Amino acid sequence: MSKLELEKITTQFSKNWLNRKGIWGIEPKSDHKNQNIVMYVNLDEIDYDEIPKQYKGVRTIIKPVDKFEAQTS
Amino acid sequence: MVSDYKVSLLSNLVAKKLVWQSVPIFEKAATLSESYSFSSLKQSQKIWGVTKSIRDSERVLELFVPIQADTSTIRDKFKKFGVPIKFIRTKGFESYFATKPRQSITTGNPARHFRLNGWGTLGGYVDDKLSNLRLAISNNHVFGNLNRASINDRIEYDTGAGIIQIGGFRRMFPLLPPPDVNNVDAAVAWVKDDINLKWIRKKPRGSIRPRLNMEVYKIGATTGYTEGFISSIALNHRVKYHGAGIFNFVNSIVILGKNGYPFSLPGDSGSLVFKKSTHEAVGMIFAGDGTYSFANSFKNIESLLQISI
Repeated sequence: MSKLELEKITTQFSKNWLNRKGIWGIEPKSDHKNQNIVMYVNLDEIDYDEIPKQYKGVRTIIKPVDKFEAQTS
Repeated sequence: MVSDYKVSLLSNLVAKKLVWQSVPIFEKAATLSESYSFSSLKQSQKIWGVTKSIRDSERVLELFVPIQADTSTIRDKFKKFGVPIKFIRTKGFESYFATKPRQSITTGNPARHFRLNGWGTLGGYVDDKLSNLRLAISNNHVFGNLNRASINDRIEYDTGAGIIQIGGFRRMFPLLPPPDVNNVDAAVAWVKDDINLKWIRKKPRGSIRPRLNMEVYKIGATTGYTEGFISSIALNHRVKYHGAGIFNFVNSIVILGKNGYPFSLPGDSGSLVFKKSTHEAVGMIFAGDGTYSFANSFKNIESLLQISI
């Protein structure tokens, strides 16, 4: 799969999942060996079992986060 | 109309008396009201600055006051001067000096001995029972270069934007070749004082022995956060280490990922395994085959490396 295809798939996936509570970010991640979708997730806000482990054959990687917020002081 | 001169004098007077708190007061400002006392103003009403300004073509004195200041008290103090006062509330002024931000490292990210080509995972941080050093933990084959590391060898961490040295190799539990058997694949590294240590999720609440069917999770550099179940706590097996041959292990924990997904994959070596409900450390991943993941008991690691979490 090309990098562009992975980006397209990630964009489609984001449309469904980025507005869900607990999902703070989604990005494509590819290196010479693997192509994955990385999800930044607050696991206190969404249950692990509800999070898709793959989308259209691309594995999702869950990275636990608290939240993303503006960096004002 | 208040004269510009009068506002200037008052501004200077306020600066001398209230902002800088110095005496004697400015010579010309003294002509306004030498005897006038501001001493009754409380600390919470301390004025941070004063300037003259023009509002609606009228000269006013602008006072920068604390957010919580009682402006009516301050206004009363200035009544006699007949100069309009405008208050600007502020949290206070401070210099824009900034210290260099400290580098942070987070568990669950790639780390290794500097001579390795691949990466394992920075599992966590532990207390050393033999020193006051701050220690990071991973496998012998990640931090210890599979028995070959020397003390203070460089330990590297991938920030995502580059590779940094986080500290040096401290000690490991040696892996013994067959016919001997091994209990753990574990090593610790000291971490530099100027590095912040962060847990990617929750700081663990101690450690616990594994139990069959215990629900667990881990956070690894390759597969991120995954959940699974302990399917065995007493596996005796062999593990192939690239470039070093096969080693025997006893009493390994076997973990299966939920719904058939792998609990761990290459690059996750060193990930700590936690009991899901309590966040207690149960084990540390060191091997697998894509379906089964193998971990050492964390209680055993603590005992053999003389550390505690």
